[in-house]
Amino acid sequence: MIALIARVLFLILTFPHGKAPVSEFTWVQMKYDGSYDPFPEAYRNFLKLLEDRTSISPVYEKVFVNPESSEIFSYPILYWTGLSNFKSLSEVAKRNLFRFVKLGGLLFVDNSGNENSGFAISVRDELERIFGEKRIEEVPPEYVVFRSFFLFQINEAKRFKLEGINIDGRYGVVIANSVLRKFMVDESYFKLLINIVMYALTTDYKTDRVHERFILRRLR
Amino acid sequence: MTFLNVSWISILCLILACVLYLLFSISALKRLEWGKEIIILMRVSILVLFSVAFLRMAVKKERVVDTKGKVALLVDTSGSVFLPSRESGAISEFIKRKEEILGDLRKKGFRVEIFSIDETVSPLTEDTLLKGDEETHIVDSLIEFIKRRKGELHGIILISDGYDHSIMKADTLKPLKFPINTVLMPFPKKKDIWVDKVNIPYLIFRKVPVKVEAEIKGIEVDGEHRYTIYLNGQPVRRGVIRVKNGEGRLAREIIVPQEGDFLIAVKVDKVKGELTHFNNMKVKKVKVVRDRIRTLQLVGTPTWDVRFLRRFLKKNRSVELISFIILRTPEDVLFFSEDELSLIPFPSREIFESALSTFDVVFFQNFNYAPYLGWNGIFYLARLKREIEKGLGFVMIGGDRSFLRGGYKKTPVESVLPVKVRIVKEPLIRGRFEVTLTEEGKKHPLTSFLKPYEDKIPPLIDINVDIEPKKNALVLLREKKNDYPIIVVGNYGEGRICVIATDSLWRWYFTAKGEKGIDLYTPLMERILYWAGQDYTFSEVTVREEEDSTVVEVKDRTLKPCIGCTVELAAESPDGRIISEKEVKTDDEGVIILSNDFATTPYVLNVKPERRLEEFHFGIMAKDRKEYSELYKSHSSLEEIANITGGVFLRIEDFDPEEIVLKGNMKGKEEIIAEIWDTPLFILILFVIMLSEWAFRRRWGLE
Repeated sequence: MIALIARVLFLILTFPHGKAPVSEFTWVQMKYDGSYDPFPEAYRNFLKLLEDRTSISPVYEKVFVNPESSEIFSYPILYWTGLSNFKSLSEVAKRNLFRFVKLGGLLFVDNSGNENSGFAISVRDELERIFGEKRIEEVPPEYVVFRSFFLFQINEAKRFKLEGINIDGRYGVVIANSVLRKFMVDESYFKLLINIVMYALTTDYKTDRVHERFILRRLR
Repeated sequence: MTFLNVSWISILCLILACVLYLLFSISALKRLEWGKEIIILMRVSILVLFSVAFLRMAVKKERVVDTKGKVALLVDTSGSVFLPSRESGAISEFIKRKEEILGDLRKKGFRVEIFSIDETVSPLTEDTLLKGDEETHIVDSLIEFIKRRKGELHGIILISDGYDHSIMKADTLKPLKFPINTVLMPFPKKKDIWVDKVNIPYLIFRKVPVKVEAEIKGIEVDGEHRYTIYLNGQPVRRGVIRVKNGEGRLAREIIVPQEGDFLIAVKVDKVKGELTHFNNMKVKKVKVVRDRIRTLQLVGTPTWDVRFLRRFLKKNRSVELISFIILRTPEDVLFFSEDELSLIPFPSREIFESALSTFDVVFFQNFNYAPYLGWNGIFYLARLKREIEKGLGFVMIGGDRSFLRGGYKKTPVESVLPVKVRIVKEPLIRGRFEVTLTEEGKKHPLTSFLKPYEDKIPPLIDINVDIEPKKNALVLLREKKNDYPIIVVGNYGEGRICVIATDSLWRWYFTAKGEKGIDLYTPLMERILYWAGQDYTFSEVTVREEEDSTVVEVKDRTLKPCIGCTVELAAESPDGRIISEKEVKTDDEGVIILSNDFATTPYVLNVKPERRLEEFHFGIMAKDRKEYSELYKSHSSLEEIANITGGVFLRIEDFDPEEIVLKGNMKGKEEIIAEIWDTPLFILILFVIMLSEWAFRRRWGLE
């Protein structure tokens, strides 16, 4: 009963409010029963740098989305972060997340704690429950996410140990470690974060043949 | 037995004379004691013989005689024998010698029937010897003629210049077992240039270069000659070809911009004094199909709308996509070297100077052109406008960098759009906007599929309000509350343009599918893509060639049959001359049926429905007249025809009826009428009886 009331309150508090979604890039963060926003202002710094460095004009609003709500389908990117382990998501949330990725959304999972944090373990379990037999695998260093804006050499790319779940030929789930936490202090994490956003918005654009020649030349 | 002088008067007179003579004889012979019976008998015999003579009794007899038989003289009166004129063409030889030939044949006992032969065989008249324009179908016509007249004829003499465009070959005459004697009228050897062959594949892809090869041949025309290649009546390539030893070759590439049926004509300029200029052009029909829809997507900034449009285009197997997304603007500051970036320079020159004509559809998606097209911006937009006029499809999608903010006001792009760009304070407004189909939108094939989903159309979240529809534009979708146009379509020249005044249409896929399980984005974008790309299923006019007619189907702007619509039709020759024109109304099904006499040679059919600015063009092959276009080609020679059928081959100057071969040894039956009195025996018998009667009378004392 208490749990039910708590859940209802939680839903009321997290009910979408404020402005309508827009087509420009918006920082959308998943709200769940856990440490869902460990670095509240980091996004703003990132968005500023994103706007300064790229053609993207982001919206300077952070939107929290409950995965149980259909509002999840208003934003094709969802940032899921945490520090500690968490309770399993509801079936509705799991179903929504599955459909979200299947329809083309990007679920960006960022472990804000250390490598073996409670969040890292919980989120892997949860992803397995959501995506079933789709396995978490290492994203190859040649994958387009490493060249969607900045070019990463193979060794650089491998450093991040980026993982993902391949859905219909693309990584619809990308799992990283402390990208948002580190981007202000480590330039390579800043580049990776830009790349992930660009990847979300342009997908495999940088694999088009017209870019191949340039990219290969520069990588050499 | 028969009587040759039979009439009731002559019989009456004879009977009267016989009766009177007998009565007189009986009375005169009364005194005779004996012998009067003998004299009466003699006198009766005389009467009988006299009657036979008077009535001309005759006997009919038949006898078998050697005969020359009935022959058909077939004279070629097709167009080729009248080149360059009746007085100097091959036919002139026959005209000069006609009476002589007929006289010779008749003298040798031939019974001659004269016919003209070109596309068919018909009796020869003076008119047919004045001017001919028909094609030569010697073997085809001979087969039909022989089957018809085989029983009556004993032979055929064919007089021709030897050029034949029959479908059947000479050896099809062999089973008919009928000798055909052929006589050659010499074709005048005169200066002439002609297009002998044109090679181009029948099926070609639109916007893909294809090679047109042609062989030019000539007699006494060595040197340089100008040529032109026409595409549906429009010159597309010109040049000079060198003819050496009577031959020359050319090979040029052309690009056909649209799908459909096209006539490609290669024409070489006339040479003064040449035999004929009718063979200076050769026409081929090609069917142009699309390979894939070559699509260019130019994007001002990455947004979710970009992400999902690209996803849609990439997933579509019939699309060949080239995207350029501006990832960094000139204002953006980067503290990294270019080598650390995967960015490439925006290839404005390559796109707008070389590649633009190869695309079928171009999307400007929230694309502000000025920073990226440089000083040549307006020039490139003018090029874009020209390509749209020639048939390029154009889709302009809104956003915060489109229309007014994109700098399109008073540019060549604004002139092709079905909307005007307005100056407003806030070009893009945000919120939740319910939309609805207009009356046109409910009928138009782009949006009519949305009708059952009108209640479920997801709201848009930002719309451009810096546009207003032009006069001839069709607004298909509008915002409910303030009537802002959202989807507007129109035409410019041959091109189709669609304006989408929002960059939130992606929600009709991602949000609608996620929340309600419906996807309205994919079917809408598919229709827009195929419509702008002029897919055949969205054509307003279609033409179908049938055996005896050409069927034209006309649809209105919403692609429903245009019933009772006035349509201007014009037939243009493959080199662009108007052959005929008329104005007709479509029937109850929006159809016009054109009979084959609208134009009798390959032509370009131009169709202009009422109240439409654009014209539609179709290549119609009709009947390709080989008489002139393949003047020097022949399937079977006269010599071959004669050899195969067992006849003889002669030249007109050596014509000798004795050499003519007929069907077998001809024996005819002759009817003879022999009058009995006209024989010496009859006269002798009559004389003897008359003498005997006189002698007996004298002997027996009668006067």
